[in-house]
Amino acid sequence: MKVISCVLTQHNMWLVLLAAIMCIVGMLASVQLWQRSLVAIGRSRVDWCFLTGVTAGSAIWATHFIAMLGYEPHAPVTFDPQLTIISIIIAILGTTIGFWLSGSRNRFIAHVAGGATIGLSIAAMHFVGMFAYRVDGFVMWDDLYIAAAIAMSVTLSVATTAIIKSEQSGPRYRRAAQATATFVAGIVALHFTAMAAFSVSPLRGVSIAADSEAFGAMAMAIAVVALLIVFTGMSSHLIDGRARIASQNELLHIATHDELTGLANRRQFKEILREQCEEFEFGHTGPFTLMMIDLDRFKPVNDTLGHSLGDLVLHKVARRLQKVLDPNDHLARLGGDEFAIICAETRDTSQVRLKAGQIVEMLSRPLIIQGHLIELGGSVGIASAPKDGASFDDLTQNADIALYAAKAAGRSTFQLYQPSMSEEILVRRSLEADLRRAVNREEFEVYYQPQTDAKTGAFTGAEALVRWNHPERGLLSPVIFIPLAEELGFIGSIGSWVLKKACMDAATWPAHLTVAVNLSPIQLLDRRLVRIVKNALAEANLPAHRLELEITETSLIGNDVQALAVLNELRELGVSISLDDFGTGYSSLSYLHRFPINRIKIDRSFISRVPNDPDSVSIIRAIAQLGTSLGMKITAEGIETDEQRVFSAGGGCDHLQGYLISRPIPYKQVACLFAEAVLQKPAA
Amino acid sequence: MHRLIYTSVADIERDGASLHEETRKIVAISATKNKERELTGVLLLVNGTFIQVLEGKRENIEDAFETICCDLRHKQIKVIELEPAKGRLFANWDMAFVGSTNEPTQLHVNRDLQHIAVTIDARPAQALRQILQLVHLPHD
Repeated sequence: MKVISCVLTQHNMWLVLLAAIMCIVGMLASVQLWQRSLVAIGRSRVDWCFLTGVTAGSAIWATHFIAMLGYEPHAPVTFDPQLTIISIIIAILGTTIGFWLSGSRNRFIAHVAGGATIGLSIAAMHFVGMFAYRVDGFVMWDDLYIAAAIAMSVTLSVATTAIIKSEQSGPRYRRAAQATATFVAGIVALHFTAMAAFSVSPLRGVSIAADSEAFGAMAMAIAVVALLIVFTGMSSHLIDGRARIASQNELLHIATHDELTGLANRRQFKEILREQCEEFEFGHTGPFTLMMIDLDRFKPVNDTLGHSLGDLVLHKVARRLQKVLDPNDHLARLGGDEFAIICAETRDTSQVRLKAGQIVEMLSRPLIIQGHLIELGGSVGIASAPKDGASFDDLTQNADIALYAAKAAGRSTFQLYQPSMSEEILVRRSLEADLRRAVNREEFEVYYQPQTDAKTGAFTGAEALVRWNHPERGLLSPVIFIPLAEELGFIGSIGSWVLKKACMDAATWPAHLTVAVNLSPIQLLDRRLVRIVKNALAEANLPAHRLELEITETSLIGNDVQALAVLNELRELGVSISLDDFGTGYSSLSYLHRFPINRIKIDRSFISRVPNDPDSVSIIRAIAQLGTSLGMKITAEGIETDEQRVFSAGGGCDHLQGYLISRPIPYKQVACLFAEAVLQKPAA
Repeated sequence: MHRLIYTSVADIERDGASLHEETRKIVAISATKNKERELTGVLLLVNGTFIQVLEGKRENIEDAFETICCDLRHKQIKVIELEPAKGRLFANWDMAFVGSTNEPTQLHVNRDLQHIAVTIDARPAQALRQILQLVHLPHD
């Protein structure tokens, strides 16, 4: 009761109101800063605690001082400047220590020691401030009220600390409001209870009351300064908060985006697809589609033009892909030259096909970067939910399978997932794994198909043909595995192994016999080819004129300049070049003219139709005549019947090869065959 | 100074006349952009096939070509030539346009356009000379 009557009767209500505003605003700001100081670590925790202490201490002191100015003791009043200043220092430093203690991990230290330090600092500030308050009159203190004031200050400060530190869920601002209310309550309770403990009896004869006007001006000045401090503290908190949000956003962006293209990265892609799957599961969205995209021929660009140009390529490709997207599509770069698109709304297959077609078209367009013309392409594999699965794993796996199928179908195309693809891919994958192993273990054998002189029937040499001795499937023909080896990049190592082996074997044959080895178009593009051939000849000690390299027309198309250079070098070594399967491809006469070709091998499809098919008859005669007139030798392949042999020999072919003479046979057999022939020759 | 020649096929499903109109709009827009990029050149439209010549700074040509490649209204874009050039052949045109039409008075233009379209791939230099003659002819 004494407290309430003290407030109502002995105070200037305007200044009490000002003190109350000061207190509420100050504590609101202090609680924000306090919360911030609790999440700060290391050195910055001390800084934040100090900033909180300055803000809270100034506000508390200003509250106290303004309220003091509002106190009307009906006696002259002066202030001791030193003690007044000491009281503000106590408020700032005391609360700073209290805030710092409240950050302790130990709950007792944090709540009790921290809270009590704050409560005691406020009380100490108050009483030191009271000693600075010099009033001309009899001053009396009531011990009970003093004790009650200190107890309330400590209790409510501990409660405030507990609220701030509580880990209960719920909005942050609610906890801040509760803490502010408790904090304010503590300060108010302390002040007015302590004021109730204080009473002044004016001295007789001295009846000059306090100068209320001057006190009002002083109160306003203090309020302004204190509020400035509070707002400064608050704005540093806000600036820090904004900077933190900005840097957090930046970190989040870095974590979820690909630096090079600015697209979502693999991590973000996974998240989006998982979310999409969940949304679908709960029926929030309809069918959607996943497209996996791989660039074709990107690696050579990166290898030959450098990584920085490769990066520019990826950047432009990303921009182009974005042009195809609908607003609800998500494009991500999964790494390297892999991209993915999640089409959130899929109406029907024709829409998917249209978009996939546009992607393939976009990726097939030429790029011009720093003056380089770059021709890429892209393959797209598509899986649609729910048709091809509705879980993350099913969709990605099936889209990958479809992508694989698109690549197998010749690249620069798209494929929609079909269940049958899985099985085909399993077969292919196992063959791939087997081939990988075969290359390492050299599970290959070279077979030889002898060739004869069309007129005399004597052996002139043999064509080397590679066989894969598969541990389970037996001997496999090159038709099955060479395309796969080309695709997987094994053709170089298989090819040079065959070349070496063939040269070694041929070196043991009679010296007039030649050996023919097939070159894949990829080998012809390999700059190391000439050296490989040179080494194979040298190792086997085989004269270069006994080696013939067989190429097909397809290896000349599109890269004729490089091919011409390589073939000329090979010719300089003394190696012969023959053009295989002639008549099936473009059969361009300009090739015969421009390239250093020693021999034409007429394709078996013509031989098999003679002598009954008049067209084939005239084609063979024409090729033979043309070749002979250009100074080339002619070989007829695929001779199976005596009629074919007779016709070919008569039609102008120089050499023959085919089942009629011999199937392809292992080295040992062909060596015997040749040795016997040499022995028989003198007899014949 | 570089010169780029490329061809592409219109993917606008329209009859000849409206394709012609659409192309004129595209030409108007690209002329404005070319002015900003200090590019000059010509666009030919021969029975649904575009033949475009662009000349200017290499970086600007690359920029323009990138924009062109992001447009889905044409397809089968094929670069015929990207070479350093001594000077501009079409200095007076931000984007000259010549298209084949059915108008009887344009017969000779149509014939030239056909010839250019056939030869551009194999003999770009010769085709370029013919384009130059065509642009300098007084027509429409």
